Amino acid sequence: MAELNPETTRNQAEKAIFAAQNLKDLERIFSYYLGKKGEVKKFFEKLKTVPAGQKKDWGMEANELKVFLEKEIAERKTVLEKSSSRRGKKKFFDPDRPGRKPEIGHLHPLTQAKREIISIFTSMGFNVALGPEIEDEWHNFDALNIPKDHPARDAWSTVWVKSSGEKQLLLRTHTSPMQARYLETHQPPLRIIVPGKVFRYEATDTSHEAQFYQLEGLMVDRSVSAANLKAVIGEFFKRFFGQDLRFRLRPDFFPFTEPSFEVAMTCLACLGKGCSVCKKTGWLEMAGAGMVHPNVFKACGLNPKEWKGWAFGFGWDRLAMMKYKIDNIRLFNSGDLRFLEQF
Amino acid sequence: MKFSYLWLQSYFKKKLPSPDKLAEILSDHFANVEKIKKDKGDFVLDIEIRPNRAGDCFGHWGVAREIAAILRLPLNLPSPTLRKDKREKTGSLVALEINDSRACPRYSTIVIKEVRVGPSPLWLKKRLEVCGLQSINNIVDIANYVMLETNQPLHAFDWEKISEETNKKTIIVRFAKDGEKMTTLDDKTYELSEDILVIASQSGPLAIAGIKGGRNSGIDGKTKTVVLEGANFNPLVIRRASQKLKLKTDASWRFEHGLSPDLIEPSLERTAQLIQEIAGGKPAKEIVDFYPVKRKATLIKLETSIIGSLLGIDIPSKEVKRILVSLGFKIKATAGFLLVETPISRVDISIPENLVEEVGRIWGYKNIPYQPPAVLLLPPLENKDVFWEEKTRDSFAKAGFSEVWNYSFLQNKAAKTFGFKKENLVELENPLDENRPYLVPSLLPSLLANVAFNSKFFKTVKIFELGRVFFRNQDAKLSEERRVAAAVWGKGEQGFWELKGCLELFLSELGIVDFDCEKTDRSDIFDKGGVFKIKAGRETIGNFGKLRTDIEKLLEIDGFVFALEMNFEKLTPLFSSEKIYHSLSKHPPTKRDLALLVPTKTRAKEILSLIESLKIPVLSKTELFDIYQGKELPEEKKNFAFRLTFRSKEKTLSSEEIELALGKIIKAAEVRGWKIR
Repeated sequence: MAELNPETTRNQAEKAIFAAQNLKDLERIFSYYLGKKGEVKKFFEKLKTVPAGQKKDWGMEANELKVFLEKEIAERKTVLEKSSSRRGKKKFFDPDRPGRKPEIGHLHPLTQAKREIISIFTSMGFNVALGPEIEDEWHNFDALNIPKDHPARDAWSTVWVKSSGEKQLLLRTHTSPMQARYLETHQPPLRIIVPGKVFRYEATDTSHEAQFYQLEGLMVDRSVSAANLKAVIGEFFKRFFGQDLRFRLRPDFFPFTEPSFEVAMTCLACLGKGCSVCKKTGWLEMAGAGMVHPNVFKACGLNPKEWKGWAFGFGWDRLAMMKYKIDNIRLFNSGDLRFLEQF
Repeated sequence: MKFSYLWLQSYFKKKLPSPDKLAEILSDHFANVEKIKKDKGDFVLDIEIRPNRAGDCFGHWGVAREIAAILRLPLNLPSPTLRKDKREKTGSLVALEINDSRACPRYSTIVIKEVRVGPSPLWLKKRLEVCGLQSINNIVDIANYVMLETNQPLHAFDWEKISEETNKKTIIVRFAKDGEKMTTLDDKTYELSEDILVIASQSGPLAIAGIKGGRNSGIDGKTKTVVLEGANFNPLVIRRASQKLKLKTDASWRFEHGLSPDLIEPSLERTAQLIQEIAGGKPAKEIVDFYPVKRKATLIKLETSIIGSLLGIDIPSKEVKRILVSLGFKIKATAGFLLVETPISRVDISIPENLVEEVGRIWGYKNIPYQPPAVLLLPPLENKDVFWEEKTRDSFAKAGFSEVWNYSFLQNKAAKTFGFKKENLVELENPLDENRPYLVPSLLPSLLANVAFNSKFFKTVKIFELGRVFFRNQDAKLSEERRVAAAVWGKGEQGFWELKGCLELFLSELGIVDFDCEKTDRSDIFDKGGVFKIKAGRETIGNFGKLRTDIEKLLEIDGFVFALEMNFEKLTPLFSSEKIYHSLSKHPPTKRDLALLVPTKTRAKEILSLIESLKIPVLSKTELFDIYQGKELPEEKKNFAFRLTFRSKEKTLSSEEIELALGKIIKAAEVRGWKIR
C-alpha cells in the first residue's frame, strides 16, 4: 500500500467525479471519499501519528482536500440534476450543431493524385519505378538522342550542379532519363510509370514552375503501336477524371521518340467551349508522347529491330490542377496549410 | 516563327482555306500554330516550328510544301530565269580561299554588277515587316526575303570595299586570330578568338561567318557591284561562336540547326533574279563554288509494313506513295518495300521511322484507332520503396500531421542559421535565384519556414515532409538521400509528447519495435539540452528535439517548436508489414500496480527492460502510468508507478501464481537498489 498522498487522492477523486454519469454514481463516490470510513477520513486519522512539526501543514492539506471534494461533488450534482431534468422535459436536441472535429492530417494533393495514377496504371500491368533527381548528362540527354551542342537541347533549360571533379551532373530536366535507366537494367517486355520531381532553369508564373512534377510512362514489347498508346491514355483519362474525355494526338518533336505526339484533352473548365484556362482553344496540352526512337534502344543495348515501344511524359501537377481545379501551380510547393488542408 | 498568309497563298493557284482554318489544319498535320494576327492587309501565322524542321520550314517554301501535301494541292514554287551577262565571269572578279572544309563545307558566290541600291518596293517591304524584319535597302531586303523563302541565309558584300587594288578580290574563309576585332553592320565591335570563323579579305575580317556582316564591307547607297554569298557552315562552329559572342541572328539560328548545302544554288539564283528584277543588276556568267565533298542523296529502304506496326493503322500503299511524293520525296524503287530518296532540304530524315512520321501525320493521327495492347499478362511487381513511402505518409497523416512539399533549393541565409558547412553542400552552377545557391542537405530548414509561415494563420501547426536531400560527405562524394521530417508548433511543451507519440505510432505501424531515444548534445539545429538520437537497434536513424530558441526567434516563431528528421534509406530495410494476431484469452486478466522508488536520473526504459529480461510468461503487459516527484519523497528520488497485467491463455491465474511472478520482479528490482513502496 502506497503512502497517503493528498495530491494523488485529489487527482483520482477529481477524475472519478468528472466521469460520474448519474446521481447514483456520484453518491457512491461521495461515500468512498467523504463517508464515515472514506479516504479523507484516513488523512485526519493519520494526523495523530504525524510528527509535531508537520501537524499544521498536514491538517491544512487534509482540510483543503475535504473542502475541495465537497465543492466538486456539489457542482457535479447540479450538472447531473439539470441534465436529468432536461432529459425529462425532452429539450430540443439540435443535430445541426457541428460535430467535434477530430485532429487529422492531410495528404498533399500530388500524393493523392499520384495514388490514383499508380492504382490506374498498376491495374493495367504497369510497374512503378523511381529515379534520382541529380542526373548525369548521359541519362538526361545523350542516351535520349539529344546530342550535345545541338539546339534541340535548348528545349530543356538546365540547372547544373557545380562539379567537384566528378562527371558533369545536373538536376534532371524530365523523368525521361528513367527510360534509359530502366532499359539498361531490365529485360523487355516491360511497362512502367515513373512519377518524379524535375527542374528547369525557367522563370515561374501561375502555370510554370522551375521545380515541377512529371509522370513518365514506357511500354516496350515485340509489337507495340501508337494505337495501343491511344487506348492506354484514353483509359487513364477516363478513370482519372471520371468521364469519357475527348483527347487528340498532334504532331510534335522529341529527339527520343519517332513519331512524336502532343497529347491534348478537352478543357475541363469549359468543356471545350474555350475559356481563359485553355486560352480560348478548348484544348489543354497534357503530355508529350511517341514511339521510342531506335537510338534510345541502341544506347541501352537493345536491338531496335526486335523491340518496339512507346513513351509518354505527363505533367503530374497539371493532371492534379485539372482534377482539383487549382489555378496556381506554385501552390504545390508553398507549404501553405490554407491550401493543403482543402485536400 | 512568323509566316505570311498571302505569301503562302502566292504559291497556289487555288484559294487556300481561311487563316483560322489553315491554322487548324497545319496544327493537326504539321506544327502547332500559336497565333493568327491580322497585319497590313495580311495575316501572320505564328507557327511553332520544332527544331527537326529547322532545315526546311524556317522558310515559306517548306511550309507551302506541307500545305500542298495536306490539302493535295499542286504547288508552284518560282523557278528563276536568269539573264546572265555573257562577257563577265564571276571567276575573274573573285577568288575563294578556304582551307577548312569541315568548318565550311560549301561556299558559293555570284557577282552582280551595275546594281542600283535604293528603297525596296512596297510589296517586298510589307512581306518582310509582316514576318518581323525591318527593311534596309533593296539588296539587303532581297537577301533576307530569299532567306525567308528558301531558308538559306545569304549575305551581300560591296565588291569595291573588299580591299585590294587588283580587279580580282580574294575571299578567305578562316578562323579569326585571337584579339582580332570586327565592327558589325549595327556598329557594335566584337573581339574575336581562334574558334570563331570569319569571312575575310587579305586585310582583315569582312563578316563573322554565318552570324553577321561587317560594316566595312556592307552595301550602301554607292554600291555598284555586289558579291552575293551563299554558304554552308558547320552548325557547331556557328553555335559556339554565337554563344561566345552572345550574338544570335536570323542567320546563326538557321545555321546552328544544320542546313543542307544543296539549298545554296537555288537560293543564289533566286536572289540574283530578284536583284536583276528590282535593282537592275547584271549577274556575271557563273557561280564560283567551293564544294569539295558533294552531299549524297539519302536513300531509305522503307518496309511499308512498319507503318502499320508502329502506328496501328493500315494506310493504302498508293496513299503512302502519294504523301511521300507530295512532300518532295522520290520513290526510286518498289519491290515489297519502297526505296525513298529524301528531298535536298530534309536533313532531318535518315531512318524509316522518320518516314512513318511523315506519312502518319499527313494521313492524320486522328485516324489512329484505340487498340488495347495484346500482351502477356504479367502482374506488376509492387515497388517496395513506393509502398513504404506511402505507408509512412499515411502514418503521419493519421497522427494529425499534414504533408508539405518544398523546393529543393537552400537559402544562403538558412545555410548559416542551421550551421551547414559549405564543403558539405551541393552547390549549383547556375542557381535560379542567387540567394538560393545550394540544394537542401536537410528537410528541416524549409519545414520550419513552413511552420513560421503557417503560425500566422493557425493556432497549432503539425506538418511533415518526405523528400530528398543532397550533400557531400568527407571525400566530396555526392549523396542523394530520402528523409522524413516532422514538426509540431503551438502545443507548448506538450508538443514534445505529441511528436514522440507520432514517432512511436509511425515506427510501430511500420514494424520497427526495437527503438530508443538517446540523449545527445551534438546538434546545430536543436537545443543542446533537448535533443535525442533516434535509434532503431544499434543504428542511429535520426534526430529529434526542441528547436534552438535563437532559431525560433530568427524565424519569428512564437513558442516552442519540436521537430524530427530521419534517414529513410536507413529505415527502409528495417520496415516490416508482418502482423501476427495474438489470440484473445478466455481467462480474465489480473492487474497489479507496482510502485518503485528510484534515483531521479533512472530512466523508465531501464526498469521496463529489466522486467522484460525476466521473461515471465504470464506477464502480458507492463505500462508506466505515473511518475511522481514530491517533497515527501527522499531527496534525488522519484516514484515510478507501473501497472502490470497478468494473464494466461490456458487458465485463470491463482493469486499464488501472480504473487510468485510479482516476487521475481520485486527481487530483481531490489538487486538493482530500487525500493518497492
